[in-house]
Amino acid sequence: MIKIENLVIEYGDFKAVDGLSFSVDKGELFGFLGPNGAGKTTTIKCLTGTIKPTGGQVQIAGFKLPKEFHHIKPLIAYVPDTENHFEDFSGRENLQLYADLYGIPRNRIEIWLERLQLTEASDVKVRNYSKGMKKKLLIARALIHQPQLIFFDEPTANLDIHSVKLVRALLRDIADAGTSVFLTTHDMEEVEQICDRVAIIAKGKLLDIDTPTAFITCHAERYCDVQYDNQGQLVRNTLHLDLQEDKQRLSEIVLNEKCVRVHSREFRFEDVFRKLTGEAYR
Amino acid sequence: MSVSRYHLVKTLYAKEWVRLKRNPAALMAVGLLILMAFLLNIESKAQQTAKRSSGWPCLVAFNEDNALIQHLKRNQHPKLKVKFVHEPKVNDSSVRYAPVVDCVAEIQDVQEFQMLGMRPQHKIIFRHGGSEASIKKTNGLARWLLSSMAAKYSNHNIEQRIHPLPNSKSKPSASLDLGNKKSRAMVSAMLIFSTQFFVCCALFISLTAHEKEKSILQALALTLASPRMQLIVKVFFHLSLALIASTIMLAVISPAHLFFVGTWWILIASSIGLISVATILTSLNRTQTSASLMGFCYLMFVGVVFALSQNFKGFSLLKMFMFEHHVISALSMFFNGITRNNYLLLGAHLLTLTVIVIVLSTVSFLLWQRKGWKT
Repeated sequence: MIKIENLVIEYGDFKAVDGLSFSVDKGELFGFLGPNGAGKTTTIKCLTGTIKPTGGQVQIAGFKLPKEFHHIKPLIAYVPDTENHFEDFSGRENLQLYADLYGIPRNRIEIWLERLQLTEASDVKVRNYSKGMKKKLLIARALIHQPQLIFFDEPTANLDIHSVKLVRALLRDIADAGTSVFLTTHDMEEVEQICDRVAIIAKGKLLDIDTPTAFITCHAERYCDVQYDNQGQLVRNTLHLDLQEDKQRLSEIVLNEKCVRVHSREFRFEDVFRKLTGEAYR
Repeated sequence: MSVSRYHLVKTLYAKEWVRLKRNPAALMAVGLLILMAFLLNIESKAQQTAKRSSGWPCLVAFNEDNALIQHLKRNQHPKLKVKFVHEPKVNDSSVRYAPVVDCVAEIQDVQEFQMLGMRPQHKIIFRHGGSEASIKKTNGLARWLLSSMAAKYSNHNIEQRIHPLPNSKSKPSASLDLGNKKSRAMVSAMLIFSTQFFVCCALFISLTAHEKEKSILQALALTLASPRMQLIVKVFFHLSLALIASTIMLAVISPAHLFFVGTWWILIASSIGLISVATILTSLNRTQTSASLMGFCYLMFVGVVFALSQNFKGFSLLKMFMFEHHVISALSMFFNGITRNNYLLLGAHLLTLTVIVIVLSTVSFLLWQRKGWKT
């Protein structure tokens, strides 16, 4: 669905994106991660036709950017991180406007209002919506024309735990139905739970790209917390199990029967992200 | 997924109407200007009535009904109606004439000179109402009176002065005389231009810059409606709104001009020019606040250039390159009545106006395409 080769985006002398290359498959839920200022939003802006690339090649659904953007437009949707509704319009009127601009029958509005639990508030002006409701309306707006590729920028920010669950299930559903989802988020739990593949970037460069499980497997650093009795005193220690020295120390503690408690530390995706991006900024 | 352009334009146009409907306060300024036009019309009619009432006779007030007065009574002004009244306290500024008139000649026969065996002397004070029309009338009265006196009594000494009537309210040099056709034409043109400014510039900036700041334009640009189409719809929307407001203004101020092609040419060109300015200001500013402030500064700039152009040649030259000057001048000429002498000048105004507006709209379109719709 998306094919990026050596993408470069410059603002004057500053390289916001520096030689990015990756691809996103059809029906894939793709996580695009990076610390603040890594170049995520710039890349999305380029993919949604707001800014032109300085170098490299970008293809969406086989159409080249920016030359054939008019072919790409009906196939994509973008859910920004900030709400940009017509505040004086009701939720339904907002959706009606976008449905009309895509030539979509208005009865489809009801489906999405229902699905995102907005039916009750559909005739209330958006000005009076909560942040979570506005976010859900943004998602409904993006999905109304059934795009083949959706860009989500922080889709679950400001949502309560019930809505987060709802939106994550929805993202998974639309990806399973064959729509590609390009997701940026700072919620690592979300990435671990729903993303098929993840790309991590920093300083405009791609650090790594893989599935969340593979990331954890490849970059996992095994630690354990040990408590043992040392001449009547309880000592706590964290041992790195990939280091021979620490491994030996653990076996000594266990064999000498001084050990009180051993806890293996769970290595999460967040740790991988911290490790990779931390190295990039070191 | 294919949608006709007509459908997209219709949808965007309807969106603009709904936005305006939900913010009726935005049109309050236009309503006030139309109210001003009504008031101007009433005031003008009142002044025209006053002008007609100035068809009342001019007064010749005298202290002595002597041979000179008899001579004047016999040789009346061919056009001006002159009424003779006896006033013993003539040449006294405390004297009030009833009914109120705006053209008086007070003739005082000074007896002392004759008693001394000198030439007879007449002291004459001409008093005017202050308005341009009354000054003109008083001037006519003075010419007739002095020439009649000179024909009959060429050996008499005449001392003459001109003063405003003590009860005159208007000051000839500073105030605006709405009874004067030229002034009325200028005020009418300014009112119509101000209406267009509010609809095409202030309202455009307010609505569009808000959409830009909130990234709504970007969201709409991702649909099948391109940024270019969004701009075209906005231009049509504000143009139609401006023409509706201008039509109401014209109907109030001068309904006859509704049937002049030239008036519509000016109104359309002026609206497009103002929309172009608004588009440029919106494109150059990221927020609604800064764009609105720039719109206000633009209005101030036009005002300052117009004011300074009366005294400084540089500003006068600068004004020639401003379409606002050509709009107001051309509209004033229309309202003032076109004569053979100013046909060429009107043509020059219309041509310059059109050229400036074409250049402005091209610049604004390019700027919009490049960065105007992007947040």
